[in-house]
Amino acid sequence: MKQYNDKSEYDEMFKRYESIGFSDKNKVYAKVIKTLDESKKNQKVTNVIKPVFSTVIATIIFLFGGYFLINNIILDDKFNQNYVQGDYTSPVDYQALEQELTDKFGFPFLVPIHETLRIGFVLVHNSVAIDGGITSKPKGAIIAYGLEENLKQDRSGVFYQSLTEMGDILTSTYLEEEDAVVIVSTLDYTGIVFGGEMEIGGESIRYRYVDMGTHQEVNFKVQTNDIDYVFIHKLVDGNTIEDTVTFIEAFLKKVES
Amino acid sequence: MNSLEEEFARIKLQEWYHLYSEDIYRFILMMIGDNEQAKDLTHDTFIKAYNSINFFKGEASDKNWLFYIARNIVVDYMKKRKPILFMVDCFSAIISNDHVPEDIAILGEREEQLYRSLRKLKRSYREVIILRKIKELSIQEAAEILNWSEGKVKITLYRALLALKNQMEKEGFEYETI
Repeated sequence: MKQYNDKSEYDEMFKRYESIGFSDKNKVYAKVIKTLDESKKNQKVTNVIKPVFSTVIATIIFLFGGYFLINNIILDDKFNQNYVQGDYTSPVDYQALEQELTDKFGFPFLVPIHETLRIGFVLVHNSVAIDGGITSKPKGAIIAYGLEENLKQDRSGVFYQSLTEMGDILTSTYLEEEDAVVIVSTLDYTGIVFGGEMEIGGESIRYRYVDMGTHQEVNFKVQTNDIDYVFIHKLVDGNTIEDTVTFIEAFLKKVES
Repeated sequence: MNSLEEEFARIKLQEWYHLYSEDIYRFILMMIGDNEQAKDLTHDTFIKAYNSINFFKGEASDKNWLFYIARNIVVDYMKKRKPILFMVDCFSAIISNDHVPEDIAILGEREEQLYRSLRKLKRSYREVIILRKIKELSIQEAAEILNWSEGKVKITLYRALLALKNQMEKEGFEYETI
């Protein structure tokens, strides 16, 4: 039997990284203790304030919630107030984009059309060979959607530069990372568990929630004959689970047709 | 936590910090390449360890448990900083423009070059090289921290070292045996 051996010519160099010192070790420790003390103090204050605060918040929610319900939903019946309404034309020609992606991937690639958000960037990411080199074979695409007002033409940004180094960008505009509201990805999600199941457009679609710290995301996996599309929706102001469902329903109809 | 448990937790924290903070700091620094941020994430690691001490059942060693927390904190940090870049980083290599920390640059030109090449590998390759080759953890320990099987650690390390070698050669670095 062959003995497992993972020796490398860089082993000696690797070891030298272990000589890096932690210059602010004591300072960081003092900060750790300070954080713990402060959190203890805050906890004591919170215990006293909590019941009062909860009552105040409940009252505010009741008053403003009622006001919002009457003004924005019952009277105006407008759902997405935060989005710019209007007749959206994608900055890219959908058909041309689909053709370009189809040519690159070698099978029919459908681009989901969002009713209110515009495509900010389309990135085709190429496969990495086992030796670490980038091949010309596309591995997946990332399509980001955002508000029209957040689309940018200035391509000097750091984020845009990072994207160019990851693959081919196919659109004429781009969005900053934080401005992307919806992302459709066809990267390989094998091994990632989509634990939930929801009926959308007559089909059973797997989904999962992801806590991103600043916000929640919901990811839906739509499987077609050729490719798996993962719809990533930031659950932020103006982007609700209903929007997600509508977007996916429209896409499923497109797949059927 | 009652006051006795709290006292115990503080003593444990002090002991862990004394024994492992440098290891944790270096692991984080190698992963993210930013001294100041590495200090902040080291701080966060020990705060999280303190707050989760009741969940530590001693199934893994103290050190491994801290590495496990640190690794999750690094992943969360990357995810929150740039979700899209993180997404791509999980699947493949990102050509990184990040600067080389001074602590690494002063080790020498070869170490700096090796670090640059390491940064250009995808995250799973970087992690397994750092844990196995730099931190010199055993296969079992690395498997525990990464939540992988031992077989996966072996095969990923093999591929990672091959990718690293190719990256070094691509950048014109020929290894010379001293």
